[in-house]
Amino acid sequence: MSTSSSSSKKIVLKSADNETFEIDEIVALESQAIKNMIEDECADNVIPLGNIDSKTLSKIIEYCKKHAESPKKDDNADIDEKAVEDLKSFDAEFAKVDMPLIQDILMAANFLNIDNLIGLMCRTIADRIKGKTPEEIRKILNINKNDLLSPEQEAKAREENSWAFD
Amino acid sequence: MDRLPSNIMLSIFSRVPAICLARFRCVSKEWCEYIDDPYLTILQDEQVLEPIPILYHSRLSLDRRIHNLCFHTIESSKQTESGITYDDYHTYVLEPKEGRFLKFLRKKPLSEPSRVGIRVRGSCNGLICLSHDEDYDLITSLVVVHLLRKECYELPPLPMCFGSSMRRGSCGLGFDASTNTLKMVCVLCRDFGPECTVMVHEFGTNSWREIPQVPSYPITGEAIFANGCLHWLVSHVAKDGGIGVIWFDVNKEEFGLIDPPKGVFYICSIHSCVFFLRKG
Repeated sequence: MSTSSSSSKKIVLKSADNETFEIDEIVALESQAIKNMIEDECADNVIPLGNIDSKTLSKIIEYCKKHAESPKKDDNADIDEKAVEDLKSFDAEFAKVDMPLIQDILMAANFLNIDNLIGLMCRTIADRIKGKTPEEIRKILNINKNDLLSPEQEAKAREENSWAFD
Repeated sequence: MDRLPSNIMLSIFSRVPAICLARFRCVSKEWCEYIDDPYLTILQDEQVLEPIPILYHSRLSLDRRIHNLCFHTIESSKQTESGITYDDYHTYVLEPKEGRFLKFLRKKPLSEPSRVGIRVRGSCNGLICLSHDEDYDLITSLVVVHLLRKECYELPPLPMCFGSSMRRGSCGLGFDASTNTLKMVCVLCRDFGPECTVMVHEFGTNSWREIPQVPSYPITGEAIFANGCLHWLVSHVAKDGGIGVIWFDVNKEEFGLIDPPKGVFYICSIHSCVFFLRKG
């Protein structure tokens, strides 16, 4: 397959709902899983991602593009502070999505093995549940009702951890 | 949230302060399991989310009733404008509360000397065992503190049926990996004479039991836990100048003796090995 005007190699990702995304190889390499596939030469021109929908995949590509463009920390000890700040504010904006999408991104990032993105999403969830009551958390995260503690167990847990409820 | 794999859940929990985790035990059974997973402590350690207490000292009020344990922490290094870093010192105070959990409160350290001895009696798997001693040699009460999780477990009182002559005691905290239980071993020796009594407390139970085995020599001082065994230096010196080491297998509850090289005066544990330190 001949590539278009761009000199860099392209990779095509296909989502669960059959949407295709053509991206630079350098962007795809942000994913350790895809990197391994390319290195082992078991990646075809199109990589099917049967468990990631197009909405999630486009968010992940947005993230990988930005991070692939940014100078890497270990490349140069004194990279300019502005780039670091810029990436930080990008991450902060990126994480401003609803909880179901965060969980979808997290699942996909875990599958694709993108360490930074897993860290960012875990931090985001942690920040959103910090300081919340158990009731609020069950609502925010839609906890399975069959997994709740019995009233006696909950009373005991509250008593044992009473210092945290003051 | 049910569909997130356990590595992700533990990674999220490792970024949440201990006080929130204590509350989250009420959320669901699954969350309870994650929060009580010992691996979470290791992850939290890597995140260094909260200052970790590094020192302690004891406080006693005038009526001799309120005891506090103080933990100093180095909070974070801050960059000053001149480029010099300095450490910000803070103090946390553990105050006994109802139940087995203690709350850390940030307070200024008090400077007056204490009259109740609080001594470290051993450590194992991130837990530190402290004793409140009214008298230097007499162990009156024992508490085990989990510093990272800021929890405290108070052991049942030692049965004091031995009379006043059972004074010198040494304790050791060990972990039995085959049954996943923590055990506290207390060796009480008579002031004069070689007789010892050995008491064992299994965590989760509310009593001590005496075991038939006793060490072949009286022991004092700190116990070192390594490779499933507690180790003590024998308190008397052999004719050739060597000091033996008594071990106690935490699983089998048996004592044994190691003849160390000559001139040993101290033992310590590094990466689950017992090291002998020699003078000179």
